[in-house]
Amino acid sequence: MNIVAVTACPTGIAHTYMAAAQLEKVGKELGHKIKVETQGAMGIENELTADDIKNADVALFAVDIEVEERQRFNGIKIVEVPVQLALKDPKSIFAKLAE
Amino acid sequence: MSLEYTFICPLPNGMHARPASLFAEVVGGYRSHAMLVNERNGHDANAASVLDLISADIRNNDCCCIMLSGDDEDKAHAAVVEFIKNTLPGCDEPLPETESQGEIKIPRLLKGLNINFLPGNVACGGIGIGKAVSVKSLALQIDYPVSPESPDAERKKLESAISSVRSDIEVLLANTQNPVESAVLRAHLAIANDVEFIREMTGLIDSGLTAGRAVAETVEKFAAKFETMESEYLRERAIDLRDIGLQLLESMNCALSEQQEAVLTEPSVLVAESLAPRQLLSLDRNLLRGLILEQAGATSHAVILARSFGIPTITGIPNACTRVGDRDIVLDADRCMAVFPVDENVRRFYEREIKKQTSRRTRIAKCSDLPVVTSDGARIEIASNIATGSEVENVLANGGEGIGLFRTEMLFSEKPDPPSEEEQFEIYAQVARAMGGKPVTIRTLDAGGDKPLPYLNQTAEANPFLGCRGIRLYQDNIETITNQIRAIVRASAHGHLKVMAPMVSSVDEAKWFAGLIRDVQSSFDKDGIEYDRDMPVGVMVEVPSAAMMIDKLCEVVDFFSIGTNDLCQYFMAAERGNPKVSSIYNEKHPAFLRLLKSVADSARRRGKWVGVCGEMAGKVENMPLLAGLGLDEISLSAPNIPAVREVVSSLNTLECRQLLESVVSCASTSEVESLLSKFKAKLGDQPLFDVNLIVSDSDSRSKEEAIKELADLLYITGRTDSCDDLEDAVWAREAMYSTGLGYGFAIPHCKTDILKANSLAVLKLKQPIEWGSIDDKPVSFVILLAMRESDKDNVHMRIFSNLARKLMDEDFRQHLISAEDREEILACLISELNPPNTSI
Repeated sequence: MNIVAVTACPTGIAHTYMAAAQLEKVGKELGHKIKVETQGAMGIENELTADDIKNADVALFAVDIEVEERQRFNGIKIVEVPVQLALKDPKSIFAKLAE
Repeated sequence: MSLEYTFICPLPNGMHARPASLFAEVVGGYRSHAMLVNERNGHDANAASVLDLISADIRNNDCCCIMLSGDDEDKAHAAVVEFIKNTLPGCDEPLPETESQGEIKIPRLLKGLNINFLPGNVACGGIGIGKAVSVKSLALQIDYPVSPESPDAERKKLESAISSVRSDIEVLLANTQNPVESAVLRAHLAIANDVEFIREMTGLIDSGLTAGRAVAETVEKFAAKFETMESEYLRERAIDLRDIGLQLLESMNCALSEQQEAVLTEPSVLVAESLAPRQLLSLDRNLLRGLILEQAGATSHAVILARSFGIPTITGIPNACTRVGDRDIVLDADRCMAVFPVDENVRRFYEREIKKQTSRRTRIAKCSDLPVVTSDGARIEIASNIATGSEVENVLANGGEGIGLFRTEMLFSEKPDPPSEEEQFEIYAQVARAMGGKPVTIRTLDAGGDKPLPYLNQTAEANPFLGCRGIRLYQDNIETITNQIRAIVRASAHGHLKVMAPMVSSVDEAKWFAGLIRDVQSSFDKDGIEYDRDMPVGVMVEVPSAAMMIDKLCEVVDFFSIGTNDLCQYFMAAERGNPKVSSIYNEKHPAFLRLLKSVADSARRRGKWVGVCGEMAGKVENMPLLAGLGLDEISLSAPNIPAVREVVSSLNTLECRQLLESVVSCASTSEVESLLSKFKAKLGDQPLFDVNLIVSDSDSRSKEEAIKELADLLYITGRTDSCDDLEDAVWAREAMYSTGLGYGFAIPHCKTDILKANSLAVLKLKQPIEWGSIDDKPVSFVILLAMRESDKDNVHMRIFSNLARKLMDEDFRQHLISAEDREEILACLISELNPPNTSI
């Protein structure tokens, strides 16, 4: 699958980045194409472009707070999970995406 | 014939034992009889008698008259007048109040346990653990069934008792270095030597009493007088009198042998209703860990002594003796409470607290004893701004090297009338003395603008900031200002004072101000009043016109202090508080930096001293610019001193001067800021990584202990002043969901400006602990990421986010776990996380 993802946690110091690393790693292991945008204390990084989103099969939000510029994802399937799940059981997230 | 002198009592606490003993000593040096009359209440006193002087109930500002008659009355009069004018005012100072903290805050680790917390008022901070030892208050009970011998024999007993008590006190006096202790002892000696005291006792013996009864009755007679006085300070002196009385009885072997003196055999916390000085002085201070007094106020000699010895003390816990008993207790004077019973949890908590406080003090003492010099040896004084005398203690505790700005407006705004010369003198002299020879720059009244005063001749103005403020008000209020200058010039004899005028905009104003001071000084020469002839006279540089005339001002004044707040407002024509123009008001604007540079260069070329005391001086980030200006002094608020000391010591003035050269050729504030942040990145204020923030063998036993240990590390290293609040910030994040990320790692974190510097602290635990991790496994490696909320510096944030990502990598985790000591852990973190081309 071609996946675009956003991670964001309350303080934006740690979990945003841990979740991003975990999703990239496990996604690749499972044979997916995945790009993860982080919305943390440094603002938006590795920003998803309109093309990225247009070409994606699904958007994954691993977030505990509101996603910024959410309107970019209008018209695409969105799956939202808590950040912690990306650390605890990332595989279950990818299973959910396939549903 | 007799000679008179009338004066106003200058002592904040009235005529109590210590000043009275000095007074009596001066009078006692002459044959003339000296009678002092308190004109407020009509009491008269033999001025050679301490007890009589105290009994006259002389309070602050009471009008008194002293009459001297005898064959050496001329000399006696001259000596007494000299004493009253010059020595008496310095004999006393306002005492710090005991502070009650309102609601006490119970440490998280002790909550929920079955422990008593008794709240009180702190008289001296600190923490002590020990066995509670109760002491009864002194009571003069005579065990003396026999009838008197001949009056001669009884008189001899009394005489020998007096001389033995005197020599006991003299031995103590000879053995103390503590000025407070010796003042109290000298006052006791004066009581034991007191003419009226001895006359009264001898009289009673002659009328048929035993020496013991004569002592007891005399003591009670004077004590009863003291106890009816209005001043708490003087009432407390009854204890001192009973203390001496009891010593006399003991020396005659006729005191009722009830246990009134505690003997300490182990670390102890003394608990008493009230305590006489001797009861405290006789204790083994190596074993005395704290003091709980049910009743004593801030003015009791026991409290004053305890404070001077740094013994943790709290007061105002009713029935403490019975409530505490003789069990082990903790006296937590920092949190204003006594804690008991002391179980294993309490003991462990407080032993760690004591260790923390000791480490922090050692660290501050290490850097605050030495004068601040840059890494290339340039001396820059780090001083403090104050508005009241009570702040001095805090300045010194933080390592302040002087007072760069003593704002005097507060003294003038407390009451509907201006403070008297005398009141002001007291305060200035006290600050000068308390700073012990370190420089104190007093700024004369800066009223007007946003600081109007009801009693000044001021008219309403459309634009007060451009109107009559600072020195511009002086001509119309010459009496008020002359009084202030007289007080300052007089106080200059008591320390290292400097004086400066606010809002000077022309050379003529500066000339006029310097003239005003010279006039006061020459009038003092005539009246024989002492002052420091070398007291430097300066001006604030806060009006742009003054900044442009430094060369000419150098001919008139000795030094300059740049007030960056007003100077920047007037120079940029933008008000600090106005959000619409606040972006224009910026001390880092290249035009403003050019102005500062021209002031500093011009003054330095002419060998004049320049300091800076505005808000700009309080920000660590500005230190490279200020050091580049070549300033002599940087003055800021006390809590920031340790951080500024540390940064300034790490700077190289040559590099800072080069930085300044490049920023003054910038075109905009943002260019300056970018150069400054590059420079800063090269230096770092407090570095993110610090080996002192890593513990490789932590014995924390719970999540609570571990978070506290991390917060304490930041406190010890001066990265926060409030470890309790930092702990709360970490727990607030923890409350959302646990930061245990699995694999035995936890990364608690917080974003808060309680921090002074971004910090990364690490605990490698001896025993794994529960953290509520997502994999339900215990944690043995804890990394605290602590970020300043207002910090926009992404360099550190980048490192934190790298660390977070790396923790998902098993090799990195193994690398950390296998590191054996803190140096290895640090090396691992730096090598793995340091982004290329960035210094941290």
